[in-house]
Amino acid sequence: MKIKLFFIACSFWAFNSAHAQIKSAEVLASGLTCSMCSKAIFKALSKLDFVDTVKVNIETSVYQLNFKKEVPVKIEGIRDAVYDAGFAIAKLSITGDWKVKTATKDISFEDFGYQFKWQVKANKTLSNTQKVSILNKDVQPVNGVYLLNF
Amino acid sequence: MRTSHIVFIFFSLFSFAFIQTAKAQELYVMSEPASTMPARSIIVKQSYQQMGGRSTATFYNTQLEFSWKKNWMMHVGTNYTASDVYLQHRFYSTDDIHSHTRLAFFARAVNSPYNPNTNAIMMEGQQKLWNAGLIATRLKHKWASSLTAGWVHRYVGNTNYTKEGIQYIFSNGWLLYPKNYDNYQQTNVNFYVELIGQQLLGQSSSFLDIAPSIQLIFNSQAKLNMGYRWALSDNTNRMNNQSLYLSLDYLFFNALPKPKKR
Repeated sequence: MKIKLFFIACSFWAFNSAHAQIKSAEVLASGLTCSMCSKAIFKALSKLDFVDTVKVNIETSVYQLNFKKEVPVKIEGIRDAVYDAGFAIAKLSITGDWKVKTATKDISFEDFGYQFKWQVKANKTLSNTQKVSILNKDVQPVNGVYLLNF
Repeated sequence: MRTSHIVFIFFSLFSFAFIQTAKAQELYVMSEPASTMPARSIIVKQSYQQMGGRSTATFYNTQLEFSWKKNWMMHVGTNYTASDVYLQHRFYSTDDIHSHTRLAFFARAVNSPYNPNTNAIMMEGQQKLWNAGLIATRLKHKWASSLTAGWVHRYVGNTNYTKEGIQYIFSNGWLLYPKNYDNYQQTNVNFYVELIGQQLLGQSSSFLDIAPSIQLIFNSQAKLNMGYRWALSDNTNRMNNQSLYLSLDYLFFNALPKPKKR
């Protein structure tokens, strides 16, 4: 019985941690000058298995991604979708329920399955669903770490 | 300085001054931008060209364009007599939100059974030739412009005319409609003006043509191009120095498989 309870507790924990993930993202694409380029990015992002919906502002090249709850979000998947289509990301922001609610300057931490490091000037408090920007050039992690700011 | 060169410089300066205030798209009708098409997509294109001048000729060209990687693309085409292969590689690109600069290398080969005895090198499938060069495309604050310049070598057997020349195209485009662009179903109307010039090497023959065209884009996926090209200056005694151009193409997104990551 105890073993059974343990397994139930474990599965509950696993279920919860699988749900602790990035909720949405905003991609500002660059390097495109035509409707076909914009639509190519839209199609590439829509095809990602963890993406639920994509909303686009064609004029500003901003793509708003909402993610499926049950599929882990891959930051590198978003990056590759845009770059493999032949374009670039000028800015990528992600929104989620962060585990640690204080952003401490130069502190590395793990969340959503990724290593992050705050690049804030002074300590800041995060909201429940804080939107943060990834600062790495071309969204490439440096030594496996994504640099964040908000 | 030749008249054609003066016209070319004047047009370049005029375009630069004017398009600062207009929106631009770079889906040129008479040339390719350095940007290349969306990766892993295929375009099927059918064109009709009615050439006029000292003689007339009609060409129906069917072309398949594809990009298997983000900075490579290839066209293969036929006018049911001559065949055409075009390869383009983008080797430099700086992308910013409101500006980009891109450079590409291109090479083209035309295999044609015709061998017309003409001074100018005929690029539309009338002669067996190869053509290779560079494309530079620059966009800054809604100004997009492209310059294509390349070496042309033709295979002629029975003529005293030169085999070599330089071909250049200067392209500019303006988005006329929609004014507010908010969904992919909106039909786009683009207006392009392109200058197409050729300087034959080893002799003082050249031409400079102007080619305005209108382009309609449907559902961000199909393009209808309508253009007319005529000579601004010409001392090459060409058979055809004006032409009407119509084409329709359709883009299939993500039609080719994704390359495997290392």
